[in-house]
Amino acid sequence: MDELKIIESCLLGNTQMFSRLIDNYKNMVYNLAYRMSNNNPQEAEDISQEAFLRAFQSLAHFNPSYKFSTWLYQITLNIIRDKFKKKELNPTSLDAPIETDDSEFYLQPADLTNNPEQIITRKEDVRTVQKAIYSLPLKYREVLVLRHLQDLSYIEIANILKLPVGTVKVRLYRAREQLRKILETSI
Amino acid sequence: MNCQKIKKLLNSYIDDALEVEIAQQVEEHLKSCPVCNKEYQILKKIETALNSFSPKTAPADFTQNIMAKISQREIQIQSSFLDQLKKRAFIPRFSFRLLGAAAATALLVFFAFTFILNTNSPDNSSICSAEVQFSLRISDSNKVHTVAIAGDFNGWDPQANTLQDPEGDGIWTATLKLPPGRYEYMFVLDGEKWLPNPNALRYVKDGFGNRNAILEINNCNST
Repeated sequence: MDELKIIESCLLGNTQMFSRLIDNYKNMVYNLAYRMSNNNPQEAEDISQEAFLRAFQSLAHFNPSYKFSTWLYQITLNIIRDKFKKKELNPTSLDAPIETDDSEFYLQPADLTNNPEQIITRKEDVRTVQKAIYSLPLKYREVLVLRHLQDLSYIEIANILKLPVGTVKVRLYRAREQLRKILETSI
Repeated sequence: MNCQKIKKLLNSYIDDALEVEIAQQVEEHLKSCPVCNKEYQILKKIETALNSFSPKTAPADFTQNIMAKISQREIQIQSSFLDQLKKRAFIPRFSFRLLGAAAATALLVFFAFTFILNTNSPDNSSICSAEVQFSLRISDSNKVHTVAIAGDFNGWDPQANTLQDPEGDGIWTATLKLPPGRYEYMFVLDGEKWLPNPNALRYVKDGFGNRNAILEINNCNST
């Protein structure tokens, strides 16, 4: 059954069908929330739950000419932005210790070298980059997370953020520039 | 290509978003220029670090928890008439804040409206109806993807009757067959921005800070 049929079915009163949409998209939403909320699992779960509940409430207003994922990303990011405004989510300072679980570092790209020293450097890099991301302004963090952790194209990001593709490119560029400046000393 | 130019292209180079020829030029330059190459290496490290974040999985009871809330009817799909009224009151304010008051005002100013009551409806049935053409002119069509009309005649459903712009000239139209009566309605842009018809003859306050346009059809003039 395709997505639109599921949505239609929900709107006709078969609300149980909504669980299929949740199953299809829960990891996508959870990952976005997790990365945007400074890798905080509790915060990530709260944000994702709220995103799906909001999506359910306004299901009648979903515009089928967009991808469902795009709409869901928008809802999730809106919740995150609200939380930032209310200071429920705080950007961490570079000096603050960052909470990371070690599982982060086992899944490495295949081109990993066998030199243990380099593996350690890579772990350090990941940690440092992660720290640096959370010191960036929200608008830069958004594009970086969407581009890298969600592996979206420029066009998809542009649709989600309702920005021209050119602006997305510029933001990505500036985000990386800022990251580079922060990391130049530490990497 | 000089270093300045290469610097600007590095991001797209890393994203594989350059044309093959230009990518080759960048590659050549990086081989011969240690300054740019160093910058590239740092960017590359950032990329690698970013890409090596492992994907997370939502908790096992995630779906169950949400569905529990839904089935306890704490949360419902907003589609009742009252909710529509609330939505019309809240959404414009929300989008105003987003767009900024200036942008919103500019948008409104650019709307023009033409309204034609077609009295030549060939309808011989005992319940007669008039063909009403609604049209809305949107000066900056690129910003609007869908236009719909919602009102008493379709249960305020923002998806039931959409306006079309086949010529792409910014004039969106829809023709509805309506029996005589008094109707209140609003336009809906992109399924979420509720817009009172800026040029309607009469309005009524909807009690939520917005206003509905009024359309009255007195007879069908069936021929």
